[in-house]
Formats: sequence, C-alpha cells, structure tokens
Amino acid sequence: MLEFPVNIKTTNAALATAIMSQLGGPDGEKGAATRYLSQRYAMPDKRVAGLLTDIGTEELGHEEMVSTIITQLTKNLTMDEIEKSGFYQYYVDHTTGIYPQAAAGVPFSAATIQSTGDPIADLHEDLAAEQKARLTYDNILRLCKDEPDVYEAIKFLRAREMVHYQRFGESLRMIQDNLNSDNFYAFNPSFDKGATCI
Amino acid sequence: MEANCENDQFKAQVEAQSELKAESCNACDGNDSDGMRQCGAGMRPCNRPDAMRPPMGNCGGRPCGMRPQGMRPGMYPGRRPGNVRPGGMRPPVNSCGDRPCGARPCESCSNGLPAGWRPSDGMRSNSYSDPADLHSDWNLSNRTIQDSYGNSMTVGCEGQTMTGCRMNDPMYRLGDAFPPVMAYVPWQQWGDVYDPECGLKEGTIFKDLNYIFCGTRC
Amino acid sequence: MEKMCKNDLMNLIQSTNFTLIELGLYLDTHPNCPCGLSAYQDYSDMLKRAVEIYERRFEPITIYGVENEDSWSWVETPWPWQKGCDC
Repeated sequence: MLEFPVNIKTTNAALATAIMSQLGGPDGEKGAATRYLSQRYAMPDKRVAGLLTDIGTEELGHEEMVSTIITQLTKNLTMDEIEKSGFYQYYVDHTTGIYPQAAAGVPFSAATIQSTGDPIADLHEDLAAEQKARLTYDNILRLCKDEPDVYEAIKFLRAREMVHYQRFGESLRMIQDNLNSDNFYAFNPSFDKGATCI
Repeated sequence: MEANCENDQFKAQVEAQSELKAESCNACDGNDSDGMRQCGAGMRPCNRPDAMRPPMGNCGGRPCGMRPQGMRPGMYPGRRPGNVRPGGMRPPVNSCGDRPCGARPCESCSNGLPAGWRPSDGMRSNSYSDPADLHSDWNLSNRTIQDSYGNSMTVGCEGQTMTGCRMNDPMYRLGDAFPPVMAYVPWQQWGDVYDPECGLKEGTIFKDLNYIFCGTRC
Repeated sequence: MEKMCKNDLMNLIQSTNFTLIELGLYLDTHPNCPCGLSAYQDYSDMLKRAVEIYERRFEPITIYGVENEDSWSWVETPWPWQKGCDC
C-alpha cells in the first residue's frame, strides 16, 4: 500500500526524466531517507531520534511513490516517444527500469548528504534538505499542471516536506532546551560529557 | 498537578507565571502606514496575529506543546540550576554597551567606505587601541536604512532610535528567550484538523501547516 | 466496514493510515499533548479494525497479514505500483 494512491493513466517520458531527481537526486527522497535514518543513531534526545526514524521511514515510502510515478509514466512508451523526449539517454542504460539518479544523470550518492554526529548541525542540514525538496516539487508542479494524476501526487509530497520542516524545527527547539542558552555551542552533547566553560 | 486540557487551575498557573501575555493591538483598518499597526509598545505588521502566543483556547484551555520547562530561565519562577549568565557576556538589551545602538564604523555612515577607513586620508587602520578612536571615525550624519519588514527609516549614527537596535523585533522583546547565533522555529499549536480523507488529499491534517503553491511563470 | 467495497475500504485504510503517520510525527515533538494522544487512539483503533477486515475479505496489505493457508497469497495480488491498483 502506498502512502498516497498513484494511478497515472497517460505516459510522459519527459516528465519522468524531471521527476527522476526526486528519486535519486541531491534533494530526493532516497537521500532524505538515508540522511535521517543515519543521523538518528547519534541523537542524544530520544524524541528526536524517534522523529528521525519516523520521518526517515516515511521518506522510504515517498521513494516508493516516486518510483511508482516514474514506472507508470514510462510504461508502454513507444520508441518514438523515447527518442523524441530526451528519455533515450536514461533508456539506453536502464530501459524502463527504475534506477536512482538525478535528472541530469548523476547516480545517487551519499556525497549529497551529511550525518555529522552533532545534533545542531544535523538538524540544520535536515531543515535545509526539506526546503530543497520543497522547491524541487514546486518546480515539478509547474511542469505537470496539465497532468492531474501526477499533480495530485506531487502536491502531496510537497506538503509533506513542509510538515517535516516544522518537525525538524521543533526538534531543534528540543535540543536547545537541553543545552545551556548562554552558549549552545559549548560542547557537542552527542560526543562530549560536559563543558568546562559554562 | 496533572496537566490536561480540562484543568483550569493548571491553565491559570501557566497564565500567571508566563510573561508571554497577549499584547493589545489596534485593529488593522487599511489606513495603517505600510501595513503596520500599533501593538503594545511597538509596531507589528497587520498580517500577524495579535497575541504573542497562540490563544489559550486551543486544546480545551492548555496550549498543546507548550510546557513550562521549555521556556527560558526567568520566564517562570525559579531558574534552572546552573543557568546563571556571567556578567558582561553580552550587552543588555537596552543599550549596546560602548557603541551607540545600530552604529557601525565608517562603512555605513560615511560615503560607503569600508570599515576602518578614515575619510580624511583613505588609509585603513588595522586596529583600534582605544574605543574612543573608534568613536572618532564614525560619521554622525543621518542615513536611511530598512528594517526587517522593508520599511524605510532615517537613523543617526548616534543610534538612538529603537529600530536601529532591532529592538522592535518581537524576539528581542522576550528578553533573553532567543539568544542569537541560533535558529528558532515556532512550536506548532494544536489547531484546526482536517478529516482523514481531506488530510490525505492536502498532504497534511493540520490546517496551520497547509501552505499551497500557486506560482506561475506567465 | 464489513459491507464496504474493496476500493472504499482501501481508501479508508489509506486515509486513516496517513492520519496516524501525521499524528505520530506531531506526537514525537508534542509527546504530552492530550488532543493528539486522544486523536491517535481513536484512529489507531479504527485502522486496526479496518485492516483486519480488509485482509480477511480481500488480500494482505503487509506480509504479516497473509490469511490463506493453501498458497502464499502475498505474491499473487498486484503490487501497489502496478497500474489499475489503487493500493
């Protein structure tokens, strides 16, 4: 069962190429899931670790949704459509299979994510990641205004990014509550035992 | 005491302890200059809510998500142990220590020269051994700046205006609740909730978190 | 729910499941909010009932919900990404 139903009735290879970025691109769902599920191990606050687990798991569901969108957009493509749309570059290596890469063809890489082991840095990374994903969905929405089946699914995914942003913001507030407000940066609560200057 | 939505005594205690009381604001009547209206001691844009804190009416009386221990020391009676701030760590909010509030070295007050340049000889000074030297470089003429809401105002390098010090920023008016060099996302309060079918379609069940996209290139 | 058609019951499960995910994220950062907790409890009970009925009447939703002892129905039904399936 997908988190949100995806039932696309018309193929569109060009749109599939664009949406590919949300699968394996720098701000895509696979990256998000890997990032959050990796960061959770070093989180000192168990509620934040729980949130990273839950959002990371949800992002895996989103990865599934995006893969489904691409599969349905490329099912039964004619060779003519493949050649004329620019999709042929992906097709030659992957046919109409699913391969995690950015729209420009760069394969998915953990080089686009970070897990620093410092909760303040990690949460700022997560806030930025959600905004980057949101703007990518804004860009995709402009491309698929005429495809309501795709539009609804992308609109859903975009709304999730903003909710995640809010949750990461609240997690950052929780981490702040556990630190001394005179100097949030006196020590790394994931690593140091304490600080001598506060 | 057990905290729950129905507990009026708890609600009253939180109200009494918290300094975050709702400020009374003038209504926005369309005649406000630059979309700003008088709100307590300062000005606030018309599109922002009156209360500094969302109304207590949510969640049957207790704001969900707000908890006393999340507030900064000084907001509630009894500081948390170990949270004493050494004297002189940071200038108090009502002045800028030695420097006039909002004033910067020559860069902004004179003719666009970078910090440390003296207008007279164009030589850059590497350091100021005496704060009085710093003062002497400041051009005391007025200049026009914009505040964080885009409103233009004239300030002098003596920096006596409150807006030059950013003191009208609501975050500063909460005292040291929001120290600098950190990002703060406001807590979500439990508000209007969509039913499941609508929530799935919108992508969230929380009306407060539902910001639609309507950008167009044409 | 016993009388709902398959599509309608799946829609109910999907929307309730999503509501629980959303409430779960909210409760991760508001663990003591009574409004969230009571909403979560209500929808959780509803989802459990709906899933039990769906898996008994139609097909498994997760690998833990396979009911048929004669064959491994988990691989027989269309997968969620296959067109024509709203699940």
